[in-house]
Amino acid sequence: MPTQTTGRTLLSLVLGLLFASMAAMGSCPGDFHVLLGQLQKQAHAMQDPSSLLDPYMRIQGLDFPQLREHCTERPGTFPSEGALRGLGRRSFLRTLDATLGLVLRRLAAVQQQLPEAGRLGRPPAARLRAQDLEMLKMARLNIHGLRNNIFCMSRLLGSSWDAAEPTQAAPGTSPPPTPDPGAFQRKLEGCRFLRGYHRVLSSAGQVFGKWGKSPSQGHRHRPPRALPEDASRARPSRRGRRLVPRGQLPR
Amino acid sequence: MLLRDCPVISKRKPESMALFAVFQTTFLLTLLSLRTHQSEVLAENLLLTPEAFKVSVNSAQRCLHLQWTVHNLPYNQEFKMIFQIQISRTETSNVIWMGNYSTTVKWNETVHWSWESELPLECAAHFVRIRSVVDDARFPEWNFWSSWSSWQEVNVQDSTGQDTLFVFPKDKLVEEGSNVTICYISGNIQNDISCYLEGEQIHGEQLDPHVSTFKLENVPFIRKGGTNIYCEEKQRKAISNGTVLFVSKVLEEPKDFSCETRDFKTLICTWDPGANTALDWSKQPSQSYTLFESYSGKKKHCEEKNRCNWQITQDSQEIYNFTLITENYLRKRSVNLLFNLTHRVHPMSPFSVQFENISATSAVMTWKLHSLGDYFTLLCQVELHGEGKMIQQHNVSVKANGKYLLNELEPNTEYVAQVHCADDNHFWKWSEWSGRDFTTPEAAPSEAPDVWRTMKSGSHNVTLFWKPLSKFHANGKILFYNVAVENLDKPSRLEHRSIPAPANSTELTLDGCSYQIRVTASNSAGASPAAVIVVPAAPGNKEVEEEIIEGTEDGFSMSWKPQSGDVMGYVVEWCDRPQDPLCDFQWKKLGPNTTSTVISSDAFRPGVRYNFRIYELSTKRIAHLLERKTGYTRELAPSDNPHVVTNNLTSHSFTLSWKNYSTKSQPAFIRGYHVYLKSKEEQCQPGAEKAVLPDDTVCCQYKIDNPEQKTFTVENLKPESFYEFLVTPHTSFSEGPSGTFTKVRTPDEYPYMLVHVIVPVVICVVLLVCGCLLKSQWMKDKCYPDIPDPYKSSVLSLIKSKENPHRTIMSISDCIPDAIEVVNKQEGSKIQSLGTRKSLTEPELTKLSYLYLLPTEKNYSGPGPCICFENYTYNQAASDCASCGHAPVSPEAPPSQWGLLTSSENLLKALEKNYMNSLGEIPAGETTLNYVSQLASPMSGDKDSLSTNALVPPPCSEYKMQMAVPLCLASPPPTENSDLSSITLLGPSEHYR
Repeated sequence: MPTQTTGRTLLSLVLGLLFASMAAMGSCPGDFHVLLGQLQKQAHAMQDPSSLLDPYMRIQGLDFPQLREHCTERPGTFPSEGALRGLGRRSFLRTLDATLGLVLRRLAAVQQQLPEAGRLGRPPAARLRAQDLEMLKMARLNIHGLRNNIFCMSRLLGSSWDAAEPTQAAPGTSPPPTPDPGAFQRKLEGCRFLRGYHRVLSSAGQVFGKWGKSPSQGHRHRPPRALPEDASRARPSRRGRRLVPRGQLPR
Repeated sequence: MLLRDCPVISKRKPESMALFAVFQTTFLLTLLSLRTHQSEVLAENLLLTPEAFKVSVNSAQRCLHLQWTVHNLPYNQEFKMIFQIQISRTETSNVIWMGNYSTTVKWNETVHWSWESELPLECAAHFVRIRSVVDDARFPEWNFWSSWSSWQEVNVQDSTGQDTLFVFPKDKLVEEGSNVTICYISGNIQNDISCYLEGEQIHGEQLDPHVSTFKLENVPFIRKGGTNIYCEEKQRKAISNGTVLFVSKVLEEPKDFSCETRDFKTLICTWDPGANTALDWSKQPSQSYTLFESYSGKKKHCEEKNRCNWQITQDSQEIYNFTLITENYLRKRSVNLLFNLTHRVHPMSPFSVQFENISATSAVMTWKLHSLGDYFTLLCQVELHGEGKMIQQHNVSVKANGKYLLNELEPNTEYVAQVHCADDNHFWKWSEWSGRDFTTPEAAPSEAPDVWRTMKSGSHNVTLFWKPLSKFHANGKILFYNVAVENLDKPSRLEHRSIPAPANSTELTLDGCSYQIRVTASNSAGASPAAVIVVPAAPGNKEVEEEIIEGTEDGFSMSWKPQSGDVMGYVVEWCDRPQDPLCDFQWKKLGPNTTSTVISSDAFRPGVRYNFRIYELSTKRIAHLLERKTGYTRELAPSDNPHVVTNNLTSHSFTLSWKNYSTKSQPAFIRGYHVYLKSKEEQCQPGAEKAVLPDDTVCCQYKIDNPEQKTFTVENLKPESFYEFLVTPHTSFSEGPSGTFTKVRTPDEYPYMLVHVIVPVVICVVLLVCGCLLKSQWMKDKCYPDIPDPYKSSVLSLIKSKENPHRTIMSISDCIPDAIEVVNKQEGSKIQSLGTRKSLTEPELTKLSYLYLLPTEKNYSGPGPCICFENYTYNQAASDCASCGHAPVSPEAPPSQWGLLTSSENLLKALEKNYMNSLGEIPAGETTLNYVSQLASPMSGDKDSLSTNALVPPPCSEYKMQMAVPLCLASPPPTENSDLSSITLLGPSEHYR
């Protein structure tokens, strides 16, 4: 099991770094299917709780059956799979990008609260904590990579999208101050938030999968007006509205 | 109740304290003068009940801060007072703490006091009241308690009526090992609530229907993220709420605090910080470290957790008194260090290490130092390392640059020389090492190689062996070995041979003269002294008996007897691997006074036989074989039994043979053999004794004590019996493995005779038959010549002569023989062997009958003449059984034939017919007749030349006789005479059966 986790982590790290560097170099894959394949792989790798949620729970001491059982996604924090399916492609990408941006900020805030292991604690516990902290760092890199590919896909779909510019792996900004619900609730909220994160990535993977099965999506650099979504956006529709995560994230 | 952690606010200011000190005496005197007349008034009116009583809360620290004033004190007077405080929990009647607080109070002064609750204040409402008494000897009349103040209620959390469960304290920071009380307030929740600490349920006590408390003692540090405590409603199975107890490791005092300078510009202070007490969620950062120097009064916050640099000012401060302070949110610790700067000098490592004038045995080492000032002398330590270990160590006092002569070096050796330095006046620490390696040049080898030789017996081939020189004596890399051979018997040119290293042997072919051989080893610097050995013209090695010695794991201890006086030394030679073809030849040279030694080798193995030869070296350097030894370091049990072959198996004995079994290649000295014999017999034969095998079977054991006896005959056995044997070698302490017994069955005696008698006979017969077959024509001519053609017979000529009246034909009726006897001879077995198809089981066929050709006057009683011919190549019936009368007839013979044979004509017809049949296939079962005798002269062979006096054969004439005799006829056994008469009739050589 640790081997699988390590392998998966390594893969995701490579993917994250690859796409982060790709975006940094200003190059995007020009082939729709290649890019879509990469997005699917990233979404598939990142939907696994072992990439982020599990290390988070270990760090916070939440990996007990009672707590794990109650670490469920808080409804409304992230768009549901149905909502994501109902979105047009560019709206879907925007929503996904906004969601990932939110996760990045949240992760940055969490990481600021976690000092390095140092000499504290018993050596095995310290080693485990160091490994888990490293996985949190890698998870952030992976999210950056995914966002970069989302940006590339949006460009490929002909979207002029200011919000989805490639992200840089920089520390997140500090969230605005909110009433302190206590460390326990913040831990639990973080757990629920990350549960939702993995779920939304799973849903995103499903949506990307649908894209691949649709035969009309294989064109390269399709003009914006040629997209089916544009026709739907021409008329006001609830489906065309952009969804953003509504949940107030615990900080 | 904890009081120390709650900050108690001072009730008076510092300036009022000083003023009080100055005027205290005056004031008291004034008071004393006034006391007498005022006391009565105060006693009645002065009510000292605390007023303006307020209670504030620090819920994070679980502290109640109380403040009050005492208004009714006289102006500008201080009174020593005692305040009694009561604290109740949940309700006023539930007093949980009551105590006194003594202090001096002035008029209208606000008094502060704090109390820390062990229970989070959120868990329950608290009530506080206070009263006071003047505890002042000056005013004994006021020494009575005031009335209680009204209860002040402290209610931090108003949770009643809510559906939310609260757990307190929230995110409490405590030190490892602390005792903590937590509680939950369930509000209106009616369900059972269970609380867990790190997954384990904890049990507490109920404070009231909505509040339960849990006392956690000696809380451990689990993780930086804190210890999670959470409660869930059992029925809803939902986490209601929880809290995190942030347990910090106890802040440790810095260890090994030390300061030193390397350049008199910076002091470097280091320490071991111990555990990091930082916690997640910014609950507590890592502990901080601060350096404070008391003489200068300077302070510096250290950026690193284990070291801090302190800049040395140029104000000639020599003594430093440092305090290292470390603190976190819970604790503060410090350590002190006082030192003289000049005693804490840690020089920087030397640099520019060089070597000059490197020779084979010496070198000069030089190095430079970082300057510490003109007044500093450094002590430098020079170490010389070779082959991974320190060889030399020297101390040198140095001001600036160092230099040292390294002596007693070895040629062609790689060395590492290193140096480090310290303050020579006040040793503090050595600097780090600085060093480099160098190699001394080569020198000529200092010692002659150790040389020995082997000589093949009976030839003049000498193999020279030498051992490589040790590194100490080689003084460099040996490039080649020089071998010079000089004939000692006649003047001749020296023969030189150069063998490149690393060869360690060479072979020389010499003639029958004496030779002196000199061997030297050479490297790039020169040659070694020569090793000299003399090979005599006649080796003269006598036969020396081998002696068995006992070896041990440490080797073989052996001794020998000197034979001559002029001994230069002794040599013991052996092979480390005697079983290998290359043998790994070894030798050991010993001095002339040595007559014993121990030969040891890492190559010696148990169970291997090692042979040693001891030579005596004469002063003329000629070797003579002195003794031979053989032995094992440890004898092992034989691993194999001999392969035994069984010979000479008879009904009463057999011989076992294992001649291929080599005793010398065994893992121990073979002392003999044991032959085990299993049989059904209970008693063992003489020479054997009963033995019990490991499998508890009993057998007979024969002992052979001569290891070279490799045959054994087991005798006195019973025929047709099974025996099992096993031959196993035995050594002085064990015998071979208990292997599989081999079975032998002794034959019976009859087959023995069969084998020895019948078989040769059969072989002879077969050979005879083969010979006959090969010589068939000859045999045919000799034994059964061709049957004459009946048509060419004289009988036919008689028949034909009837047709030719002109010829003189002898009629058979004209022939009146006196008598013709047919020989009847008992040779049934022969008949069988000659092809009769009747079964031999029929007794009547065991006799052969000859028919009477013509009746005699007396004996003939049959119906007519009967002519019989005999020829065994014919099988057709040709006789009239009726005419023979006295014998049974084969049932296969057709009855018509019998009648035909009753007359001569019939006979002729029968003859004719039989002849024709002979040309065709002879049917089975018609072999009841034999032909008997047609007389024909081999000389003529032609019917025309047939002699008229046929019945009188000429002397030495050959006749062929044919006879047709039904085998079924049982003629009376002829007498010996009749047999003889028949022979007479046919001639001795033609008697045909």
